[in-house]
Amino acid sequence: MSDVVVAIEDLHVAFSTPRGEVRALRGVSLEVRAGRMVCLIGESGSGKSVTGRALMGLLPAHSARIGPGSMRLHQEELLGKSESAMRSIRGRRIAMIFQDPSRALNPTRRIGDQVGEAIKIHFPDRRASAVRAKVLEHLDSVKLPDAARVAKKYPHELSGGMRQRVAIAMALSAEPEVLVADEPTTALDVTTQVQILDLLRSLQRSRDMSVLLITHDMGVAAHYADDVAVMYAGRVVERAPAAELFADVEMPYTQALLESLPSARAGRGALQTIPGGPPDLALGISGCAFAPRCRFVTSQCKQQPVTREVAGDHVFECWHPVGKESR
Amino acid sequence: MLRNPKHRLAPLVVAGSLALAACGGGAGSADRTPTGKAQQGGELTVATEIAWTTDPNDATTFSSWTASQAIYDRLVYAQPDGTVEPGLAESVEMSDDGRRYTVKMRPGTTFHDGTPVDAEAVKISLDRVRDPKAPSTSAAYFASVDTVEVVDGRTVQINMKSPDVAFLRLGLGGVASGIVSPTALEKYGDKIDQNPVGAGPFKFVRENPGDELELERFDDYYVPERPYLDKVTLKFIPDAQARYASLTSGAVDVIHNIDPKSIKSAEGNDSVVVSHPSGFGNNMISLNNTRAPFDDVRAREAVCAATDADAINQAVNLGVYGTDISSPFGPDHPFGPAETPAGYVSYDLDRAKELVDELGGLDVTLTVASISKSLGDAIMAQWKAAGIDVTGEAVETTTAIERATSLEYEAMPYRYQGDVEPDRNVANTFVEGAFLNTTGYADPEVGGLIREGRQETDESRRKEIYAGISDKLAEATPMCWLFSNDLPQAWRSHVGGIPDAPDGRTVLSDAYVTE
Amino acid sequence: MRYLVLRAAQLVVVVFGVTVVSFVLLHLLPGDVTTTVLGEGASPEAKAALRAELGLDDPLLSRYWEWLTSAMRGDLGDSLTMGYPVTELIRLRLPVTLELAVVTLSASVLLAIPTALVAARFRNRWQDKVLSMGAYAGIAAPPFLAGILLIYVFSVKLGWLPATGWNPWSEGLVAHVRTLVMPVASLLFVEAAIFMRVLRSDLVAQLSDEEYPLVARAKGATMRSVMIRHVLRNSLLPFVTIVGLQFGVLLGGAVIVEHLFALPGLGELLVSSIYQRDATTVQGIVMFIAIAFVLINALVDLLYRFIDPRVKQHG
Repeated sequence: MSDVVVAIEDLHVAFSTPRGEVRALRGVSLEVRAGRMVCLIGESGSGKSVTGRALMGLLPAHSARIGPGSMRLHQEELLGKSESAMRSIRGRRIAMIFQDPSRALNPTRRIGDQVGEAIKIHFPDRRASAVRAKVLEHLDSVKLPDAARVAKKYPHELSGGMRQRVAIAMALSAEPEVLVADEPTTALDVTTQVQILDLLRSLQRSRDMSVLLITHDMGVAAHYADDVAVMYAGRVVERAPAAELFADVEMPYTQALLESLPSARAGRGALQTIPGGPPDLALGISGCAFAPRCRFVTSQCKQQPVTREVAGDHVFECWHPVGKESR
Repeated sequence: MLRNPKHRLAPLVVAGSLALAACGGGAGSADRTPTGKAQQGGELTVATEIAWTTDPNDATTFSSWTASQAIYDRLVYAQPDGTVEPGLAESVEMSDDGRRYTVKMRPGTTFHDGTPVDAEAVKISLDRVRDPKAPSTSAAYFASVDTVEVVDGRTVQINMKSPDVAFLRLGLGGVASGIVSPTALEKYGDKIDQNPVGAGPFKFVRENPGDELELERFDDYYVPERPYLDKVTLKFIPDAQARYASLTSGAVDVIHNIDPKSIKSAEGNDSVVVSHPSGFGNNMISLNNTRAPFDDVRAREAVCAATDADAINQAVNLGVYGTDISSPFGPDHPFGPAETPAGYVSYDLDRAKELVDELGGLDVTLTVASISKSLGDAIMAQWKAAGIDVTGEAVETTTAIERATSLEYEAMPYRYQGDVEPDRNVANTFVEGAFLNTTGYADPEVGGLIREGRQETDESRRKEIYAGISDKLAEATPMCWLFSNDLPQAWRSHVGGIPDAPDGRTVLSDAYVTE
Repeated sequence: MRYLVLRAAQLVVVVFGVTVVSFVLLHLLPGDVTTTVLGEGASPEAKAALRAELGLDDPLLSRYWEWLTSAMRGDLGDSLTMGYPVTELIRLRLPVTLELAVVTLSASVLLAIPTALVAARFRNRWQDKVLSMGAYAGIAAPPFLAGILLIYVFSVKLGWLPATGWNPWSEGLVAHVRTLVMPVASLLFVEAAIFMRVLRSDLVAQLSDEEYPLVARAKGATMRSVMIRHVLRNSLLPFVTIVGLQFGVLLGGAVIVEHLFALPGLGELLVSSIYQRDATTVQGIVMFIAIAFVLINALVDLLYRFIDPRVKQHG
């Protein structure tokens, strides 16, 4: 499809660790289309951050083995690109914001310098005054009051929410077409979370940008996503446009995630958690990785389930789907 | 009559029966003399092991003697062979009863500041040595002096409280007889050490205290055509290896106290000459005779028989120091015994074991200054081989000195500096209550001999007296002798005219360079 | 203003404390200066006379009080062994020690920063392992041995540099530098190794604990620019602290190198004065070094504020 901006296909990533090789991504497939906000959701350790960093080419070169698989930006294959080629993409075409704004900003440099850095890197010919103007424009666009004053401040002089706004301005300063937002609100309080996510969505819409929003919060996905991709143990186990997915969940894991949403249940009782924990990726996994925790497990689950399509853009992998397909 | 080949001046006249040796081994044998001739001009840098003071009143080390003697000429000079040569004094006469010295000064000699070196100046300097308010470090050698009188412009008469022959070499020939300009003394007072003015071959230019002393030629020095050198620098280089490296690399021309390893290395180096006369004093193992176990002569004999000085010298000094000693006098001391005294206890391991058995075992604590650790280890190894139960105890140097002089120890490696004047080697150490008596040895007969030696004006009779003292000490074995206390120097082969000096000082009046 | 008062108070307390302690310690050491001045063979009478003359028999407290009151007037007294005023001795020797310290520290810093950056950048890889081994070797090789080795090679064997001594600036730049090279080189590797290890470990901590280096890379910055423009400055606090500390140490403590190369520095003077029980010289130098320490500390504090904007708020 021509409007696919990022296409990840059957991507494998493994890390060599003292415990042995950890297979963090075991064949991830994912699409991000133009002007869409895609939520990549999963428990911690499921590989969603690794997917984001792999796309940025930011996995540690000496410990990560990337591939086989494919990552394409438009039709351009990113896997195997040189570090310098990736540098010209990073920040300029794909940018990223991180979880904790207090650690993401350099404490010893002024906000303006940090926001302007990507502009200077990718537009080296631009004059200092033009860079400064652009910095102020971006600080304005993330709704920071008195951008000129903020530009002169150091990170410790700002609140957490303001810092994350700065981080967003920083990521968007070189006008990328794709933004990877890795749990951008986890470290913030609830009201600020909403503000930041609203801001992200409005920026995404006004700039017609594609966003890969990495989160562990199904509520966020339900509220903001155009498309949803659910990850479990290094694979995307179900993905679909948000409306489609919430209307018809197929994968028992997705269902379990949905059931854990407070709004999905009556009252404010304890969250329903999924019994057990995700598998150890250092050990070999055969068959469906969710099987040990699944209510519907059968002997068939010992084999890797085939990928099935519900509609053209709703795919999942499960032997025992719980939605329409089961009927 | 006295030999005086170098200065070609009137001989030193000593009346009475005080005869002085007519000749002695001069400086530098033929193969050590540089190929070039002595010539005027040039510079010389001397690297010292310790810092110095220029004031003859305070000089106690070979660094200070070197500095002080270059600036201040002494009245007379006691030579290593025992002879006495004139310095600023033309002659010194001792009365027959030994109670009066008459010092006659050279005419027309001046200090660096132009002040004449007259009888008055001599009196002021000698009185300064004896000033009870600020005593000189040499005051003890002037203890017998009663008064110093100016007879006329060139003549000084020194009246003694009691006859003292040792005064000639230790007092008049010692560093404290370096005569100081009275004008400068008046002007600088107790800061004279920072502004030294004497009548020696070199005058003071500047000093970086504890680091460098710069001297230049004194053009009106009383010896014609001396000194040869235009400039002399003393440089403080405390580390022995760095000092030797500075010599071989040419950064300095003369070094003090070259260490045994470097002496060995210099044997194969044509550009370096080692001057290694034996010292006047000795290293020994001091034993505390006043308390057990060494209040028993058998215990003292046991440890001395167990001590192989040659092996220790080999282990600690690579064998470079002299071990041919059996008395308080160094191997080549003119007053030392001609042969080993009869009762001397030499190394004899079997005898040592016998004695230990006879004593029913011997338990000793060896106290060692921490800088002499290897020496202590070598001694302990040998004593253990003789069945002696020895425990080591390391203390700091200053503590070691205090413990030794206050007799708070059992056994301790120690050394006596000594002098060509034999009195210096025995009077402070083997007389009851003497302040350097580290053994507690007290034999009235020996005390009497020492007194006699100091008053005896006949030189050959003196030799007999000191031989007698050596015999007595060999019998009593108050301590075990190890090796001579040497202070060898080394210089680059283009340097000449520096005499061998058993006391480690560098005499610069005749020094020259041939480059 | 409050800061200045605090610093001044600190200065007084440190100087007072240090001089009292050194005074008492020196007093407790066996032996006294009379042995040095008069020689080993001095009679007890001569020693007693000198002790009286130097006032060494007065009560400890009154001696300290007398010293302190004249010190406050800027008079540190005369050296007991050399006779020179202690202030004059310090004035003569400080330039040597100061230059040795400053040049050594500058060279060490210049060596430590790039090596630490490379080691941290390639953490746990061969570059890091080689450099860290080098640093261990640097810390393990005592300056004395390094100095002996340098003298042997460059003075004795090659004859390029003078083995010992110190040519002041007045003898010309080349002559001066020739005497400076080996002392600096003997200290350089230890100092550089200390600095490099401190800096490397903090750089590594910044890289692994903080996200801003990753964020900078996500902007498209090169690793080199990330290390130099981002991480380095954030690692400078512990680095500046250790450099300041070593500066103080070198002021009083380059003793071994000063001894070996016969440099007329403060450390050599301090140690020989201790051996000789030259109380006034020891006191004067100790006080001087204590003041220098406090001043260096204040300077390091100022640098903190300059390096890290967060410091101001806590200061």
